[in-house]
Amino acid sequence: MRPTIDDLARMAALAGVVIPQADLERLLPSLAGLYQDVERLRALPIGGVEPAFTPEPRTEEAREAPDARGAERPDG
Amino acid sequence: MKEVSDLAYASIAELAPAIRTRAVSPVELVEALLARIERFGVLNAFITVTAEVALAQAREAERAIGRGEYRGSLHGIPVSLKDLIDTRGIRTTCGSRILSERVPAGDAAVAERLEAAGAVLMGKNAMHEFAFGVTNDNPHYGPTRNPWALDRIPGGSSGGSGAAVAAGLGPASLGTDTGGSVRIPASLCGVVGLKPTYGRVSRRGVFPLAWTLDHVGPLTRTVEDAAIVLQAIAGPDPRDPSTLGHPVPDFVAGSRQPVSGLRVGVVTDEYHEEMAGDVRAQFRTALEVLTSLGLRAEPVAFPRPNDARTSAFAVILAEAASIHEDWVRDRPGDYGPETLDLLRQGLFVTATHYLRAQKVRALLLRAMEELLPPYAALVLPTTPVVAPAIKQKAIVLAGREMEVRGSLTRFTRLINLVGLPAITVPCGFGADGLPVGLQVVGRPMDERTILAIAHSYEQATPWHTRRPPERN
Repeated sequence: MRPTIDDLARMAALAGVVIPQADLERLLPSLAGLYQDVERLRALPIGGVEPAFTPEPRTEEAREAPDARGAERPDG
Repeated sequence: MKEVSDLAYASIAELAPAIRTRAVSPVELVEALLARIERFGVLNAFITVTAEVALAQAREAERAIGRGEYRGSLHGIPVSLKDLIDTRGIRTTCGSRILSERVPAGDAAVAERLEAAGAVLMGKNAMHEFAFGVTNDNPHYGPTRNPWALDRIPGGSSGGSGAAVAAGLGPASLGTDTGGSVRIPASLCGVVGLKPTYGRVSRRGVFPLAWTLDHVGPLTRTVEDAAIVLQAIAGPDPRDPSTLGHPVPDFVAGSRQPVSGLRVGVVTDEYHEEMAGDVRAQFRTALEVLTSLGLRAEPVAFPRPNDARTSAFAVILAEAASIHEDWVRDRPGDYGPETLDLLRQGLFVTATHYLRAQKVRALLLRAMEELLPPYAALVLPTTPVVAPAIKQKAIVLAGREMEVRGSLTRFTRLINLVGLPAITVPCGFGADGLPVGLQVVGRPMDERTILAIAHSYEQATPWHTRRPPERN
């Protein structure tokens, strides 16, 4: 999805933030690029993956424990 | 007593025994450094110099040591803090106009720990506005300059910390690292910067940029000093749950472990091949040194680097926008234009975007768990280019024009997403005589091994002994 200026204006209004039209126009190319990049992430095998939220990496001992982070969980 | 210029560049490991035996006076050391901070004012490395506090703490340290109450390696040692680390009764601006008069009622956990160790607070270092950027060209406090070339940035967002340590204005500073903000200024200024594992050091009392990416770590001139400072600030803090359950090893002893025979993965995928020729040359030479030390270097590919980069950017935008939401709505004119643009972009990251990025992070954590076990560490350059000019907006890399921010964070940001420990150590000089950094990334909670590799490399090379030009 490529956002439009109208999309951004509506989203800003919903967030209660006033952003001048000229500023939205300046932000649009960066946001369009970001949306495109984030859209591409959908192609990764993340369907049943629970979000990580914190990056606490697991030590070797912890990794051997059951319920390893990032393990796929059944949908639903 | 050593000459003042030697004192300015003495390491903590050198100063500590001299202070303990009263061969060096903490008061005289502080006085010498305060004079030097004034002389190096052109660097704009400090937002606030706490001269009175420093002198009072130095006098107290001197008295205590005289009574035989020596507290350890940081007793009487001058340190400075990035100006988003809360200090009780001392203005903490976050490099912003919005918090320009804010005086915290309490200390951050790391400030408490340094004070308990007897360290002396010299001041609060300049930084990129709210830590959201890597140039340290601050619209409210002016640009910080690189001690190696005054027309260059020091990197950021802990740029004042990097400039101060490199210029001999103190042996150590604490910075924060959300996408590389300890390692980038350390690399561009030719000093050591350590980002510990997420959860190793408490973030309580440190103004956040992005909760799930923020780390606190030291900038120093030697690897051993980084270990000494980490020893003081690491450990569980009940008020930062991410720190619980991780015992603290002896980092200084760890930094002296032998490294011969260790396997290191050299990150050589297509994404990480994009670097300037001068950086590539220094990095290759550094690999030869590591090999000569007995390390076994093997090429490895970082998992999904472009996806990791996208995820990290989405996470930082969304979390920062949430932190700043009220001010972006009510006080947009009090931000610099660059920071405001980024925060406004964050408002348009939807909940599903954010959660998708966090799912990718889970995928990457699992991929790293599979990648890391055969290796003691991964190595790669810290930044793909040397310090750009102040006000420079873009860099051409591999025939492609890139924003300075995107370029400088290229090799650091992904490491924040997976929370691994990483250290940068000077590895030579590139174009225009500007420093280049070697980055060593470790396994979770294994700062000891990256300290040992970095220390061995440092001791085998002359780079940490080089000094930027003096200022009169």
